[in-house]
Amino acid sequence: MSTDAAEKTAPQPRSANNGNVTKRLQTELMTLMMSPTPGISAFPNDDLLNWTATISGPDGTPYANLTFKLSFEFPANYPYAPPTVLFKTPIYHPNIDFSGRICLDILKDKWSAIYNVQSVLLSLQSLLGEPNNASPLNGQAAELWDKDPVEYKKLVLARHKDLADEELAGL
Amino acid sequence: MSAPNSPTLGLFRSDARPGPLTIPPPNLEGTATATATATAATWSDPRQFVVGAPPNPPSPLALRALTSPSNRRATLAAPTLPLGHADSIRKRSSLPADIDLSTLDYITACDENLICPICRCPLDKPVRLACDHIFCDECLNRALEAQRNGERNCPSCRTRVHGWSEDAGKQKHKTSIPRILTQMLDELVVRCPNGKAGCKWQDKRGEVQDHVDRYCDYTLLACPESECGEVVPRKHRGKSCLHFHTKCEDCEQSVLRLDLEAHQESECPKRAKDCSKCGANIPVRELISHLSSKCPETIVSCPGSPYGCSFQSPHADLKPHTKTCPIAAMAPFLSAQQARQDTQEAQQKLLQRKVDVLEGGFSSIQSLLYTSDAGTRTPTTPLEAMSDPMLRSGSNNGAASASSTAPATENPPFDSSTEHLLFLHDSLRNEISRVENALAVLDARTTMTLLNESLRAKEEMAHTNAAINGMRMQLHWLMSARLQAQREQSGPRAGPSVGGGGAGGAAGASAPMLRPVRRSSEESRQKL
Ligand SMILES: [Zn+2]
Ligand SMILES: [Zn+2]
Ligand SMILES: [Zn+2]
Ligand SMILES: [Zn+2]
Ligand SMILES: [Zn+2]
Ligand SMILES: [Zn+2]
Ligand SMILES: [Zn+2]
Repeated sequence: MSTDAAEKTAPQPRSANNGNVTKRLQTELMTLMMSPTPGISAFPNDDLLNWTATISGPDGTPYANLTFKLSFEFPANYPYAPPTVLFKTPIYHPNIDFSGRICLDILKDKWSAIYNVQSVLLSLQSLLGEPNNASPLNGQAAELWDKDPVEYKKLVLARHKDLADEELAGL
Repeated sequence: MSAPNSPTLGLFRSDARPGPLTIPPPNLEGTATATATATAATWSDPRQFVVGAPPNPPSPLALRALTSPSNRRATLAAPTLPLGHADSIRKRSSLPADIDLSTLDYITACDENLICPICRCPLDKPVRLACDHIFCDECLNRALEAQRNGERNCPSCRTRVHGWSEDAGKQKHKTSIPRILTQMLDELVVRCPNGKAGCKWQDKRGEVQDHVDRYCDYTLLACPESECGEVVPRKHRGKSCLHFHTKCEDCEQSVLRLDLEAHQESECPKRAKDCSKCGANIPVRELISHLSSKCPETIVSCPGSPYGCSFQSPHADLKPHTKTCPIAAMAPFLSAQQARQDTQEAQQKLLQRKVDVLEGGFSSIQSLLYTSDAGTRTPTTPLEAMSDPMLRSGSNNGAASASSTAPATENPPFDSSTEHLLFLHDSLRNEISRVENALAVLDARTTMTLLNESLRAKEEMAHTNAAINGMRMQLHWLMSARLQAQREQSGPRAGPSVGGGGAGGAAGASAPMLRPVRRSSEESRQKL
């Protein structure tokens, strides 16, 4: 197909369906609130296009018993384009850099319109236990993951502690 | 999943997206025209909307364009202009545009299988792909359109979609939908999309289009005066145009004739009405608030009702009750108490969290003390590392902990000198264990070299022994040969007893002398 046609038809339905973003997000919010999934939670900030979410580290991984805060930013054509997801809690992980950016295919080119906040959070939760060490953002973490699990766990806790201190100070 | 369809969601939903057919309250002059449809015109004035199949209602989008404020002025003489626009919209979807079913308020709980995985609403014009996944037509089109690199894959399973085209007319990716599915979808009960305007209708989704098109009192229709171009709800649509301004007889305000009834019912500042309950004459503007709180006949409950009094009576009778009701007298105190309790609970929660954190720290310190008393552990057991982040050794335990990844490791926040001492103690222990390890390794290495060295010495000794032995044998042989020769020369002189004694003595002496040497050489040979 020609790109010409795409450009001509695309803006029209998009402007007509702008309300669909908020509608779909409201539905998702309702689902999350009516049938909460243990270990994950999400709620919009002042604006429905910006959410704050939390996931707890899966048991049996170095992240067990830790909680991580994330931010979601939804584009105007969500769910046809992925949300921008960032870790707000400092985290030591092969596929997450120090500013919280995540390298996960389903948040980029493997995004599908059927994904939602819940499925993204569940994927991120499983990413914690099964990092993709083939394409790491944090090479040291990827190396340590196999080589020295004890040291890895130490670094995870050290990185997470930054937040715990912050919260304690805030109390 | 019943959540999206629960009736409580009504407000939530309609806020989300004013659908093409949502109509604001009729008393708000002007706004009603912005989102209007005039579908009944199909049969009341067929000339105006002959596009495609005649009985199909025209697109609400097209009609919105038709009645939008900017177009309204221009449409009088040129009704075909916006219709061309409608045509282009219709081409895209290949179906006559109609109510956006996803904006409807669903009353029945909808089965999860009937929900589009993309928009999370009950399916609207379902499309089935070859891989058996079903989506709304519109949702699927948008999802495929948004895919990059020219890929067209099923959003659910990523199977390649064949035959999809942006042009709805050329699409060949759809397979037939089971009839039962469309039937189940059509049987979902929904509210009329004009519910906000006041319509109470609710019925099967399959009927909603018909209801809105033909029967709904609140559907906006084109004004009977074809020159007017305005819209009017079906229930007010008489023979003549109501779109002219008139003066309210009471307040002399200029009001659109169409909105006059609504104005007189609830807005006019000069008009008063008898309250249906108490009979008092109340201005219409205050009637609603009067009925909800002030009217002496309105049933209200005792102020003590949250604390156990079940008394309910008309407004007028409440005062005598509150004077005698002990709970009502206690109510202000109780509510103050409640507020205090709430704030204290909130504070307690905060404190609880603090205590939790502190307890965690305390227990890790305790475990540290306990294990150091037992003195049986090495500082890097995994268990310890897990239970106590404090134990990260501050010393040079590999480049990792000292690197910038964990700035906190370099400056652990010490709350007390005890903690500091504990930390020092621990790092010293680490140091010692490392020295211990190094010593053990060194020890092993020394033992090994010693062993090797002594082995070589032993070997050499055995060689030397063997050589000495050989020389002794030779010497012995030479000596005995010499002795033999001497004996033969001096045989007659010396008595055979002496010679024999001498020979016997030499032989006797040589034999025990030889034996240990031979034995030792044999031993060394065996060792080798
Ligand atoms: Zn859909
Ligand atoms: Zn599929
Ligand atoms: Zn209706
Ligand atoms: Zn009119
Ligand atoms: Zn008036
Ligand atoms: Zn009254
Ligand atoms: Zn009472």
